[in-house]
Amino acid sequence: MSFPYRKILCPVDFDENSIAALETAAQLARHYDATVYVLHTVLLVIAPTSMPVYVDLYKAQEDTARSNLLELAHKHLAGIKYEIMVNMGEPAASILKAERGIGADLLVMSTHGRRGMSRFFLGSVAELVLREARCPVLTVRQTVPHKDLVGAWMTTNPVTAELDEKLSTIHAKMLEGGFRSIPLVEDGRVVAMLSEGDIRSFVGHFDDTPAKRAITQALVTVGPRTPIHDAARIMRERKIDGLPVVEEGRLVGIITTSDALEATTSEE
Amino acid sequence: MAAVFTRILCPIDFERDSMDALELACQLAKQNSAPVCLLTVIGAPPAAATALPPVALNPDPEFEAACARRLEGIAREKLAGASHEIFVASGNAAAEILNLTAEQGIDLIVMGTHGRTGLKHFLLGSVAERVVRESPVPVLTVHPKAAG
Repeated sequence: MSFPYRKILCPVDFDENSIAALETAAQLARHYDATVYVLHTVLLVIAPTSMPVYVDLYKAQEDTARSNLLELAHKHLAGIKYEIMVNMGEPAASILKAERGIGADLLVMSTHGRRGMSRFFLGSVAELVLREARCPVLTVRQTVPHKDLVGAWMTTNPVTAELDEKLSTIHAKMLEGGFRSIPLVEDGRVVAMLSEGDIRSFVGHFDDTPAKRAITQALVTVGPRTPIHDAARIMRERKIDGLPVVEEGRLVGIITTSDALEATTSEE
Repeated sequence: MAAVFTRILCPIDFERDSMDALELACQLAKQNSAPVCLLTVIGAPPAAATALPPVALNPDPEFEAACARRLEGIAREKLAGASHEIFVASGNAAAEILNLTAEQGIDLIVMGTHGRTGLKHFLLGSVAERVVRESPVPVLTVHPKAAG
C-alpha cells in the first residue's frame, strides 16, 4: 500500500482517554496493516543518576508498566503487529524522542493525559507534542457517554407544522405545547425551524400568512449522537431556541435550550 | 476493508499548511472512500485589533460566493476526483469548524496547526488548539514541517 502509515505511535497512560486513542490506533493499524508502538512513560521526578537509591524503585515501576502495557495490547491489539515501549522521564519529551527514534508516520494520542481534566484545558503534554511532532498527530477525545449526547435529552416525536399551514394554527400549537420554535416539514423532512420571533412579526396577519413566508433562518440540524455541549454551543452562537435532530434525513426529535440547560446542570 | 472514517472535514484558510492538510485529507478520503467537506471561515478582525465592541457580521454574499468558487477551484485541483462538498461560513473559525462537525456528521477533522511562522518555536495556532480541545471527533493535525 502506498499510504505512508507504517508505524503508528500511541502513547498511553492507563486511563480511559488513552484507551480511546489506542482503539483508534488499532483501527488504523488494521486498516493500513501498520505496526502500533505502544508507549508508556514512567514519570521521573528525580534523575536516577543523582539519586541512585531510587533506581530500583523506578525499575519496579518500569516492570509494572511493561506488564500493564502487555495486558492492554493483548486486549485491544489482537491480530495487530505491535511493540511495547517504556520510557522514563518527562512524558512530552519521551513521546517526541520515541517519535523520532522509531520514525513514526503517525501519532495517535488523547488530548487529556489525566482523568478529570476539563475540556477547557488541553493537556500540556498533548499541546507540546502537537507543536513539536514532525509527523501528523491524531488527537482523540474520550468517547462521549450516552448521557452527554443529544439523543438522551431530545424530545422525540416533536409537534411539526407544514409549509403551507397558516400561522394562526401554528401559533395555537406553540401556545398549547409551550414551544418557542417548531420544525416545518415537507414529505417527512425538516425544511426549516420557525421561531416565536418569526411568527411575531406577522401579528395581525396570522390567518392569511402561510408558514413558509415567515421563515428567516437557514436550517441547522444536529444528530442524536451529537454531544449535547455542541448542540448548546450551536444554539448560543446562532441565537436559536431549538434544533431539529435528524438521523438519515428523518426528523427524530427536537433539542431546545431548556434541554441543554437541564443536561448541563444535572451533571453530578 | 472497512472504512475508518466516513466524512472528513478539512478547514481551508488558503495558507500553505492548510494545503498540506488538504493533501493528507485527500489521501485519507480516497482510502476510506469518504467525501471531504471543505470549509472556509470568513473571519472578523480580531477584537483586540479594532478595540471596538464586536459587531455582527454582515455576510457579504458576493465575497462568500467568491470564497466558494476559490474552494471549488482548489478542490478540483487538489482532490483529484475524491468527492467533496464546499462550505463557507462567517464568524469565529474554531466555532464554525466545531459547528459544521456536529451539523454534518463529520468523523475526522484534518487541519494544519498553523503556527505563526517566523518564530523559532512554533506556536500552536489558536484555532487548531480550540478544535483539538473541543472536537468530539478525532482531529488530525499536520505540522507545516511534517509535510515537508
